[in-house]
Amino acid sequence: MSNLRILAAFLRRDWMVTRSYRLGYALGLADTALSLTLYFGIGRLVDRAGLAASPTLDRGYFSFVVVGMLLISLGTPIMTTFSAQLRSEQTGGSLEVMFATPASPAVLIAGFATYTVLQAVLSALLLVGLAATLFGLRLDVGPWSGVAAAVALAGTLGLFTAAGIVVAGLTVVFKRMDQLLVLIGAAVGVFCGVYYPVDVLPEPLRLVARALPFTWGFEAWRAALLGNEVLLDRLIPLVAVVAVALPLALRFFGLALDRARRDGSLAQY
Amino acid sequence: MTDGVLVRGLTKRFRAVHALAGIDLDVERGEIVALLGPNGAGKSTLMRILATTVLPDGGSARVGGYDVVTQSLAARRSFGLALGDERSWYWRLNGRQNLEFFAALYGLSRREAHGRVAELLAEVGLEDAADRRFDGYSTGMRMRLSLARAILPAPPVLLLDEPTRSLDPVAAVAFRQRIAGLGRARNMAILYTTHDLHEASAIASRVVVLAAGRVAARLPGGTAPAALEQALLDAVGR
Repeated sequence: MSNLRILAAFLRRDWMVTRSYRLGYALGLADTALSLTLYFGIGRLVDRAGLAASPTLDRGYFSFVVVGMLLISLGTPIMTTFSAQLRSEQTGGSLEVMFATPASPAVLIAGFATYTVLQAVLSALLLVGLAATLFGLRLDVGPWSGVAAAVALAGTLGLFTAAGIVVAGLTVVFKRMDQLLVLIGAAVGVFCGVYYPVDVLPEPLRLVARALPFTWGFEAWRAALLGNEVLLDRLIPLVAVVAVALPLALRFFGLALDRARRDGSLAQY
Repeated sequence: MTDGVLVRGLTKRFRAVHALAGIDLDVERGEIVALLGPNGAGKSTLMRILATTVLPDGGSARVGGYDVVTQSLAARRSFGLALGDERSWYWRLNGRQNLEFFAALYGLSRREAHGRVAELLAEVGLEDAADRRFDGYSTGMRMRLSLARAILPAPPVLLLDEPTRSLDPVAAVAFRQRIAGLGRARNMAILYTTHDLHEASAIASRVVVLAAGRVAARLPGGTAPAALEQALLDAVGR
């Protein structure tokens, strides 16, 4: 109960802070609409040129990319929010005061992400709404593939969360880690089938892409939403990896906090 | 065993620097102990160890009866912390919203927090500015808000690290009178670091002088500022 109160307090706090910067919303909306228009145009080009030979593109490139964007638009903010918030608390001077309260570090780190998760979900719904109403996106989902999509979503977001918590731990110790987040985000975009099927990559890179759990998540997610398919061979290993990665990430964050406490660097930035 | 502050043989080293080299210190409930010392004497390190944000290398420290390393969660429920650093706030929120956020971190429900925060804002004289944004607060108001946050959990121990550092003399006098009143009314053990000899003389039940990570002198409350200055100079070997 107390933990939920803390998460609710973070939610209220971040909502109040965000509300005080109103222009950001309008700009975000414009950015989403522009991205969709860009990919709609690219989609028309790809589809007309007959480049969509891959079976994963048989619903058209626009559908392919929007479904990928949907997942990455949820995952990236969640991944970056932990270290961004932590850094903001570090530089704002509130981190030390926060960690001197009885709230557990795991709850605090969850609190950092609460508002961002909600905001990302709303943005994703907006993305789907705009894509469906303005550009005719159609999903093909049945009951089982709906469950598979939910598992793929949870699993992939679990991976983003684990990566975000690890980077937050590194931020506690090394302070500036923004570039690492940019690198991870770029690597997911390049290797994991967000904007194009991994089949189009050259052989060595394709092998790398196939070995990344993010790729399993994107493929299972897309197959469920566009092809009404359940890819168990992707979903089972994805869930297994997340089940190990999340507790390990939290443990890593705890160790990073201990190290900062030993070094006396918790309040430094 | 005291439920105030109990420190025995506390050591802390940052690379080649001995920040604390075996400190013994007690603060009983109802006492205000002023910690004096030159920069780098170990005052802030000691405060941060007591606040569980720095881990000691050796010795022991208990706050409210709880060991700060092995019972850190319970220890965190036993103290309030106010740092002279006025940055530790959300500047686009008002005073009430800021305090209500921290009240949640202490496990208070929204309803409890609402009542408690209103009570504390009145206690520190900020009820009229409660709904003003923090970035519109003066330095004195910010420190009073820090004090309100420190006593949010009604702790038996109060840790104040140079709380009057940025205050003008008039505001500093008012602030320390408020601290003394709170300490008496709530029977708290208060550990108070300062560089102000007049302040230490006026507020403290006892004064402890730190130098190079060791206790260099222990003096009774009310010791004249000139005598405190001499003790400080002796401590640094001048």
